[in-house]
Amino acid sequence: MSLRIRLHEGVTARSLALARVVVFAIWIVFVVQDPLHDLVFLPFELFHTYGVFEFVPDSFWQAILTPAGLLGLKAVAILVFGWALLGFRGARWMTAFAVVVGMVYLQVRKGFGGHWDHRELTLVYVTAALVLTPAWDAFAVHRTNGVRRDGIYRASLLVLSFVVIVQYVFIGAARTFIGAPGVFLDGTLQNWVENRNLRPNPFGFDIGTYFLDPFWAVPLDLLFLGGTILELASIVLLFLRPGWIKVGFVIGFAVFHMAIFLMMNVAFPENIALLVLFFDLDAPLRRMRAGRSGAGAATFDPGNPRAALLARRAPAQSPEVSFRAVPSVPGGIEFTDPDGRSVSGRAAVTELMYRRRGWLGIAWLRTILPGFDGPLRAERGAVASWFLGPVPADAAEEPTASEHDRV
Amino acid sequence: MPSRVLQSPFVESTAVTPELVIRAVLELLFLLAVIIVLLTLSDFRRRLFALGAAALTVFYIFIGGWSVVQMVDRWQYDYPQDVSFIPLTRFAMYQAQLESSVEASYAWQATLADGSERDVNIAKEFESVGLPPMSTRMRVLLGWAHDPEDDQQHADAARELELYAEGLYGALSADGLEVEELSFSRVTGTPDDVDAEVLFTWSAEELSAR
Repeated sequence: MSLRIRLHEGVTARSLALARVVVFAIWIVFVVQDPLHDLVFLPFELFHTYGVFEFVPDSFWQAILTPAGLLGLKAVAILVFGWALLGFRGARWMTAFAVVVGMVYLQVRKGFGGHWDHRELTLVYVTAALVLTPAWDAFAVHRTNGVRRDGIYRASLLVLSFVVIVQYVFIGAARTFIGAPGVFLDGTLQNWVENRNLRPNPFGFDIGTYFLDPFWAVPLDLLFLGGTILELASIVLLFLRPGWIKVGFVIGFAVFHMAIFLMMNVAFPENIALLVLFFDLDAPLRRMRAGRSGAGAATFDPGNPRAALLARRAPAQSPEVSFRAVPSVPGGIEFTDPDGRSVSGRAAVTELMYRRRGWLGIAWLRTILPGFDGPLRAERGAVASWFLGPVPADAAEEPTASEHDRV
Repeated sequence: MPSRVLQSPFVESTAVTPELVIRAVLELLFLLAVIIVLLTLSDFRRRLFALGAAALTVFYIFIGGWSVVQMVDRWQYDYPQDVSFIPLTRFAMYQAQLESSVEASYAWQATLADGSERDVNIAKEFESVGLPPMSTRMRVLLGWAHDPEDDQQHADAARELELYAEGLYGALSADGLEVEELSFSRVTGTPDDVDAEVLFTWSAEELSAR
């Protein structure tokens, strides 16, 4: 018997690259919004190092724990994470350096506390795993290239996702085997909620206090048990195809994180963001492109200046589309794809935009706007005219026959 | 309302008892079972071959090291820590049964130049440290200050809390507040019936002398 891994079937270099963008975007947001400079007020005597950082001389930390040092650390971190995100030359090495910078950054923060919690370590581990992958083969300023083994992008994304899964399995197993059954009984979560609401916290949510009535003890115990089962079952994500079961898992994790945040003031925003690693981030782009790049035929009303303008300018960017002038076309312009499906008005304009390089996103946005399929007006609206002026007069000129017949 | 923290030995037990050993062995067996199923009964291993031998070796060593630390590290919530495996650590949270919510709590208060008093939220003033690490440190220092095992522990608490008071004084002054006095209290009772016991007080002169 062999269980088949289903996660990340059919992913591409772009899927992996987008995962890389997500990881470093999380880092950049994490660093930018962090009030690290406040640590300058705390005396150095309070600072403790942990693990491997105990081997780093105190003079290094003393240099960092100055106004210039903290500012410099933050600047270096943003530079390094930004470099790896954008994929400049040497981004893979820069990612290895980013792991070191990220760990130093966390040591500086947690050195003034009483222990090193695991909150950001999943992000660190995922970043470290990126070093093992060709995550700069797409969406990078300097794209790496070369012959790749079949399935390497899937293997890469499986590794990243597996790190996230392992953290959930570890946490769920620790709670189950060290705390069960008592940890799920007698209002334990309610006691944790009360405790976490009463100690000083930086967020000030008091939603948890609404659940301190004895009535909520059992529902909260069940929520705790359900969340733990979800953590233990997270390994199942490896065997799930895209679909509602996987979405349900991810929503469950997000709800669990948000419940802890809102009820207990303990935040795991990085881990919530990392949940997108379970999805093929290139899939929406592929879906938008699918069937949108083929040939087509457009008929337009030469009496409609805007339609005529499109017919003059669009062929240069969409050479596979033919244009033909037909008086009184419904909606001003009509587009028919090779399968015979036909749309008119603004929907037809959007179909043409889909065929333009770089306009895919805007075309997609247009499809979700209200009135997307409305008729093409002959003139710009008042606001658009105020900023952009009227439709150019030459647009009203009827295209030449050769332009009509361009294919 | 003064803020309160847990002051209880059963928050994250680190005492190595026979029961803990048995539970840890069961935890180990479960994780081993998951790993064995994944590596032998699924095509997970084959799916990763494309990464290449070098990258896969590094990955397996990392997962192996992380797993060992997950099994071994029982001291990640201790302060001060005798042993730390950072950059690896045990991933665990809310793993202990809490029989009651709160036994004691702490509060920082400032007396300003105009005579008014205000609560000082150290978790907010030094948000960058992170809530769990800061709470652990305050919880331990509160215990040392109020129920010390010996005079040295009480002296350590007094020294560290004074250093935090200096930090708070600097942060509040930078915010434009004229602080005359800072105090650290132990709080007991219930939210509706608070009993605060001031353990330490520092004047502005003491805090600005350094």
